[in-house]
Amino acid sequence: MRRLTVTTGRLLDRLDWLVAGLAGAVLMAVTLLLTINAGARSLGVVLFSGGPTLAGLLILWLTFVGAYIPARRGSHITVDMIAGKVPAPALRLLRVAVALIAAALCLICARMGWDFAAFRFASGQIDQMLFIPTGWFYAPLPAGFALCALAWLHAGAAAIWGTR
Amino acid sequence: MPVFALAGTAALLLLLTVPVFLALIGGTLLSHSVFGPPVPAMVFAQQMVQGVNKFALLAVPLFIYASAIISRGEIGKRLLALVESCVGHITGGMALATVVTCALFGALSGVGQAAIVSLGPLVFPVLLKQGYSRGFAMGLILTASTLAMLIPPSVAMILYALQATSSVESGFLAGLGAGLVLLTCLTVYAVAYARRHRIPGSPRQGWADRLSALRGAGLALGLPLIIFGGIYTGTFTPTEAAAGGCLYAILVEVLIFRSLTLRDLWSLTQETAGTISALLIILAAGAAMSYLLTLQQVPQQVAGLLNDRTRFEILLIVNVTFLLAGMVLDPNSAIIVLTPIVLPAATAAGIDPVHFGAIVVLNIAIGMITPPFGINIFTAMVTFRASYGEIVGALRPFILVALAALVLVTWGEALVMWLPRLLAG
Repeated sequence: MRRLTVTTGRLLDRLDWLVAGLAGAVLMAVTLLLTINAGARSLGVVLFSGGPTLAGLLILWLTFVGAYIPARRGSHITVDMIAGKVPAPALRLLRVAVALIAAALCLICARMGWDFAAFRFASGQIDQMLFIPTGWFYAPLPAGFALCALAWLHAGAAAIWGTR
Repeated sequence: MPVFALAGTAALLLLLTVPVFLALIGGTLLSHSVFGPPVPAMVFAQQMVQGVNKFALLAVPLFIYASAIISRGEIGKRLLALVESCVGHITGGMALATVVTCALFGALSGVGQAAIVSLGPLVFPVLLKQGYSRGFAMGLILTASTLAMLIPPSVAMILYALQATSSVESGFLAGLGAGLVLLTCLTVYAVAYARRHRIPGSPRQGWADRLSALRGAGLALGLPLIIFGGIYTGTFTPTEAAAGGCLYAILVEVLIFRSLTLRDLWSLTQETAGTISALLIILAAGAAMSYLLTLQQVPQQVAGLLNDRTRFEILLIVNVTFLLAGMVLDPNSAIIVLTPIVLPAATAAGIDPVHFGAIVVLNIAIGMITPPFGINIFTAMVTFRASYGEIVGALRPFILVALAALVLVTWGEALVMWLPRLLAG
């Protein structure tokens, strides 16, 4: 199990690189898209009427899939009143418990998100600005929560086996 | 009962150090599965997406991005040189320059901690050199940095406006009014302190030096011009102004000041993307929680509980609630969670939602510098290499000054609302 945890950790390191790169690219793309669109509009030119909708869609993907990055880095916002006062052996137990609770909640959310995204895809609704199925607006939710669940399952295993 | 299940589960998960967004989701799912109402759980997925999919909300990640860029760059340094050249020579001038620069920095960044990290290391040694005590210098920088929460473009105010479905533009103006009240209170205290301790000002600078400092900071001052000029002339929406501000900050810092390389910018962008996700997912979770609370009619019940209270009592309860929340919770999470619960009671008591926003944000800003868990205290421990006890001791008089500003903002509605009424109707 220890070896599996280490191997998974290495694979996740590569995934970290990919997700962080995509998240950075999305942030830059949204900045450029909105600035160019607004600049053109102030000159009386409509470049891309779906710009704001596309920016919104990209930010949805950044929100849910990007949440994997702080999950891996342990930088999600927490209230760490107790953690600082817990003795070292209990702290390890606390880390395992938190990782497992977080993974379980993420899996429930991924399932909920999957159901809703599948429902939207099946409904055949098309977004009128981007001409894509509206399911794409909900797809980041199962994708992001599944990735977060993976990150926390690995964090829990790493805490149990004492690996990185 | 459903509320206690939600709040109890969320509080328990928070104490266990489960991330805030998952604590909110955990509480919501448990309360829904036990107490209903009978709606399918997947509607919470829909609410989470809808909570984030708002055009006005796009301004939040973009202002955070702009803040990250200017925090690492040279804009803060140049602003400080400009303000110091103008007011540094008067008694308490350097302290005054610190407060004004933090306010100007707030007008660029909109994030509370950015000024501590960016301006703190620049201002702190200068204040000590002029004879201010370590405690005063740290307290002043920490408190003045909270001005960024109020002075537009304030991320906290955008979040409040979205939760309260009120105008972002009016919220910005109310925040500016509240920010000016806090700035005035801090300035009065700083000058009084300098006079009492006979701390001299810096040597007076000539007009040539001031002009040179203005030239140096000219490009930095272009940023608020784009943001506010764009918004209040109706050229840009706040979201577009945020995007334009980001691009301007990138161009100035990377191409003109050359304080950031393209590699720095790329790594900063990736890092900021993670920070933004961590914030926005709380908003998504907060939307699911608010939806359940609305289904369970909790805001109406809270309004009912406060029905017999006077306006004075409601404002007092609101102040205490948000102040305590600001001490324990991340400021943005506190706004997302509490606003939908408390706002109906406040509006029922005749409090303007825009004025209420200024009160909420100022409370949260004070909470950030209030022990035991004010988030700025921990940022300052790293920035100034000071102990927790030293910073908390230093903050005592400044918290009193900030509370005085809070009283003025809460019960002096005209101080806050004259700008929104004048400019935004």
